[in-house]
Amino acid sequence: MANYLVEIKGDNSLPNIELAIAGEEATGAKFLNSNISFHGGAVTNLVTFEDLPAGQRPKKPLLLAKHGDPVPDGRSTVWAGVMLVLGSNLAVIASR
Amino acid sequence: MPADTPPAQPFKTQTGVTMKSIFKYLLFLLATLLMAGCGSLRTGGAPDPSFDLAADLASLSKEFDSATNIPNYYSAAPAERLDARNRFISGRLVQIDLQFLKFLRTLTADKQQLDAATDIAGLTLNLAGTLVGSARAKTNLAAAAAGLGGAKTTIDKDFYYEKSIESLVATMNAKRKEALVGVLTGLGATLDQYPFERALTDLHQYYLAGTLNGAIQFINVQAAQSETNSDKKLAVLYALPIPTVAQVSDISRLTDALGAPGLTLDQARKALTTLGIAPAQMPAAMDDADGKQGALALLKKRVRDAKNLPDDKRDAAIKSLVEAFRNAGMLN
Repeated sequence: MANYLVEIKGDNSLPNIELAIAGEEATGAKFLNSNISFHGGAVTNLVTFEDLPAGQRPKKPLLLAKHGDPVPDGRSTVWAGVMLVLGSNLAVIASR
Repeated sequence: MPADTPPAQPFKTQTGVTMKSIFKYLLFLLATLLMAGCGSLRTGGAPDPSFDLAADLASLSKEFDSATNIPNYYSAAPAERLDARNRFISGRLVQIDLQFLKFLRTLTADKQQLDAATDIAGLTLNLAGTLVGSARAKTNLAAAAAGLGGAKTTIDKDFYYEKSIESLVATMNAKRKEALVGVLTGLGATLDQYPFERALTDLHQYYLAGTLNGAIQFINVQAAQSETNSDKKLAVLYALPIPTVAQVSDISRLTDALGAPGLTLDQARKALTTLGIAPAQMPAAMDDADGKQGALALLKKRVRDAKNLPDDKRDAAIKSLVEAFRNAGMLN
């Protein structure tokens, strides 16, 4: 399936960003990565999702944590990088 | 050995040079290269400067102490001011340049040393892990090796940081050259054409061009200028809203219903009818097999569209979908 790009505003908190991703994944998509970039006149998070076939969604929700926080048991890191969180750069680890 | 075989002689090339002497030469060359390599490691890939930056700066400060003193310029007699201006500019330029060189050398040192040392330490620890007898020792060594692996990851991040630094340094060099042109042109101008105060401003610009902040500012300006083009290239579909946990749960149920193995085309069409899809627009197939949007894709789009509605409209839209799915027997 095709990949697509959406924006998650950089003024959101990490739990809200996690919720935004959870909402998108719930519609049948899978988080792939996030990059800080210029869009719409501001620096923001541009997030790539893979569009899954209708009726499919990731079995486990994505968890976001600050880099350095332990990854919960039974989960593995699926992405690590920098996100704009509450207006500041934050090293983030995504696990599933 | 047969009797007519001549005694072994050292192999000689056509010019009479023996293999032994070639080997000695190669060994010497290798040692020289290794020693040169060590020097390179010590200085982060840059050659040792052929002069002492700190000492040069100290002596230049003394030399230009009066020349680079602003009050001294204004106290000079009008006839001496052109010379005073030019001495001031020259002195400041040299000081800024040496400080910049000193600053540059602090930006990129050490990475190669750390990288090489970490790789070697990781290798020897892993090797030791395979050789020691006790399980406890193996575990400890493996943990240490893993720790070093982590350190390597950190260093790799530093590497990317340094790549950014390299870009910034390249930007600084380019901007410094630009700023220098103005200052050097001013040196040949009269005081009326290139007043001292203008020279001060240009020197400040020259200094700023050699700072990371200056380079970042320049890059930001460039990024903003190219933003319009970038926006066209980046097909950003929409900004994600922040749904509630309950909304995420409902949306998940709707998606799961679309993936239910027993779902029929009639059920999907019934749900679409409830959602207001006109008979003429009704999909003929469950999937996109006929080249048109199938019932599943259409329902999925409805779910996603509802999720992306503004906060005050999202809840009602999701409830409508749940209701439609229930009516069609797709949800309990």
